[in-house]
Amino acid sequence: MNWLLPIRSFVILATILIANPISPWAQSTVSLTVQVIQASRVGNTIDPSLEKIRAQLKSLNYSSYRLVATHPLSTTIGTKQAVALPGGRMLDLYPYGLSGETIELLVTITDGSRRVLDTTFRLPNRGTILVGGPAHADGVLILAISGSF
Amino acid sequence: MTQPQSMSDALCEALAPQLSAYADNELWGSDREQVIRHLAECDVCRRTLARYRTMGETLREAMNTVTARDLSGITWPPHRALTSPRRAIYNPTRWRDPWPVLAGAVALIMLLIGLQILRPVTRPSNIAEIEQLDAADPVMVIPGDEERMTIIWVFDTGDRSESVDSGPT
Repeated sequence: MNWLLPIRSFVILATILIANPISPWAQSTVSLTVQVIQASRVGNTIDPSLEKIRAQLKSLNYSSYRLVATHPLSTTIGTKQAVALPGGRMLDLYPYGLSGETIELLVTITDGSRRVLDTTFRLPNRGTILVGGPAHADGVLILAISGSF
Repeated sequence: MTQPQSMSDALCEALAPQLSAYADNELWGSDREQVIRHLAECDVCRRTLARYRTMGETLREAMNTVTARDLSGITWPPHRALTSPRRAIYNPTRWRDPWPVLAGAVALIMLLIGLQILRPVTRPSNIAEIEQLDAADPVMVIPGDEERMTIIWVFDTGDRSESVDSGPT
């Protein structure tokens, strides 16, 4: 029967899409958040907005943590995002794939023509990684990079 | 010593039923003795006995032959042939009614959705796995665990920094 063909096609397509844990429709969008934090040994305050990562920050050798900026980014796999960092540095984020429950991410920090950092890692869904060290003012910059999909 | 013909005929008629039983080895006791004695003197009954035995052997052979030949090739229950012909399992006209197919498809989709919902939720791990790392300055990686995040720490020795920071403890 000719009119049964679309129904069968729909059923097969729906079955594949539902059964496939990595659906190309639902998971191509990736949300990234970059928190730019200035850490220093001057003072003894921790920004209240950093409460979620307070325990992580306290393991570092600084006494003061201030949230300089938050960059929420909604992007797709294969799309590069750039974030301007204090001191003229640039942070490039390139989510290049999804693997299971992780985002495959390429992160580069450049200072002019100088490539400060070039790394790829797998970031768990709703996970966070800290990238720190670049000097800034009287302390250093710490980047808290979070991702979800 | 042979019996007179008339007596013999009367005895033969009297022993005729027992003769058949004797031929089938179903006669015992005094009756058997009587038949044996009569057979020893009566040619007619001996021929009759011979016919009985021949007939019996023929019947047994025929029965054995029929049983071996007919039962050896039978692979289905004999009562199967007595049942009425079954309906064909595949009925092409079934596809003309789409509702059973649609109901089955909807049930399958609902089952798959249910399996997705019931799929065990893996606890989100906060451990980022570094695959590749390159930096202009010395760099240190502090691997994460279930309680701590992974940390990449760059020891900045660039021109913008006047002193090398000690970094994390």
